[in-house]
Amino acid sequence: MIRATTLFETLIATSIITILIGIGSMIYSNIIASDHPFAFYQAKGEVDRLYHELKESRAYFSKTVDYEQFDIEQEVTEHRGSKRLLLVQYHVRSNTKLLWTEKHLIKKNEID
Amino acid sequence: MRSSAIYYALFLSIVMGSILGSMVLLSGLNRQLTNYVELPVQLYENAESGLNYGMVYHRELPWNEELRLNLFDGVMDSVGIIKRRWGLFTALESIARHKGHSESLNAFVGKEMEGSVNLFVVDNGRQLALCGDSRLEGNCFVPKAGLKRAYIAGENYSGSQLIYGQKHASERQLPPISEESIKSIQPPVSTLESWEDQGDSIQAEFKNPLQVLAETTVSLTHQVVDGAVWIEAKDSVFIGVGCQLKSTVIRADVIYVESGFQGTAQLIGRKRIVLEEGVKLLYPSVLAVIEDQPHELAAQIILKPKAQVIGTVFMLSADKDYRRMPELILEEESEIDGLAYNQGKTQLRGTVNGSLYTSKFFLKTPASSYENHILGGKVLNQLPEDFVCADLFDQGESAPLTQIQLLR
Repeated sequence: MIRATTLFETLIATSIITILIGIGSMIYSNIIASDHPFAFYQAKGEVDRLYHELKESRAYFSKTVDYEQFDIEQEVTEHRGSKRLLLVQYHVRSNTKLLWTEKHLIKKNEID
Repeated sequence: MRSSAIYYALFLSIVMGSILGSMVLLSGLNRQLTNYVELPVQLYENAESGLNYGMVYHRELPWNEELRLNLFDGVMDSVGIIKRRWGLFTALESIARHKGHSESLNAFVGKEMEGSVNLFVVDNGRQLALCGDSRLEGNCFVPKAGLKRAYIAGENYSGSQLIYGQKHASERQLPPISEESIKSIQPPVSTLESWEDQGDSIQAEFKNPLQVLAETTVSLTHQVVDGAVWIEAKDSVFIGVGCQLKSTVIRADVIYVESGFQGTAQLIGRKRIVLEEGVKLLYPSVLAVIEDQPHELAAQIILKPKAQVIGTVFMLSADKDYRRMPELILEEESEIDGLAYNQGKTQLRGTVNGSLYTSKFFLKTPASSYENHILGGKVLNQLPEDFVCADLFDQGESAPLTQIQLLR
């Protein structure tokens, strides 16, 4: 014999499932937000390349490079007022959201 | 069969709870793994920045003491920098730390040679005479009396011009170097061991250098010596063709390097160093004779034919006795690539590619001996722009140093 569910049971079950779905989506969105997007890893490779290029070419200029999924702002300033030590910062943004900032100190070599 | 919506809901909640719990767990693990991979990279980059800071502000760094600083005024940028001497090189260590993790970088640093002097001969009032296929290139500081062509041992000067570069008047003295600090070079605080206790392989890291002491002589015939090893002998050291040296410092009265040897080392003699035919001291090497007290015979560095040193060569005398000036002898086809600084006299029959500072030249032939004559010797200006040598000169301004070699 199949026992029918009462209205009360159905209401309780519905509430439990609703709460579960709520908690589940909250956890899922938090996890997704806290992990690095794929663009982050792509950008990291590009920042390494830009920094290597800057050291090789000794072209100590600020510039912004746009990519499909992100853009990288290379900011070159004097470190605490020193003309021989430069602070090179890379700000990586995706859809105006700052993904991360990477900083380096670099000795300025004069171009002959 | 019983059926109830609440049981289904509870069962569903257990399943969903397990799935969500796994997701949270996996995410946490992933984050930890990412930190595990990314933190060392971040610390390495900070250590690299610390090295650059040290090279620029090297004058402000105390010797053998750690200077701690925050590179970017942030939370994860604490770096400690230590300046030490390793033989004649200045060594910088940069240690980046964060929450019990650390990464360190060691590097030899020195002075870039670009745009510097190629030849500096002290003005002793005598002309500089060139014979055979001698060649002087680049910035040449010569006595005011000038240069002349000469004929010795059947060889006339064959060049079309006397200097292939710029001629400048030299001074009555060599440019000063940090003489006191060089003469007082000592092995770093290190583990002390006796030469007799050593096996075929002698190795040490720069974090914990090793000093090997010998009462009389050392014979390196087949040993492998790698890293921060300082060998100190009271009498002499023989370096055979079968031994391997890397970054080693060797100090003794007399050092003799057998024909065909190749390696990187700092050889510091008190009386005499001889590089036999075909010896190659690779970059960054140092060959130096530093007299601690006046000896009966003149101090000597002799480079036999086809011997080559890539790095720094210099000679410091204990006094200013002109009868026993140190002698740097470059025989035919021998070569120094880098900086050669000699407080004494130089017999140049080989090549100096880079900079040569000397009080005067001398030339001995089977028939006679001559002063301020060069027969077949060359001073060339063909070093790469970023060639770096040991930091010898007293610099009024605090010019930044440049990395010679990175040591992990």
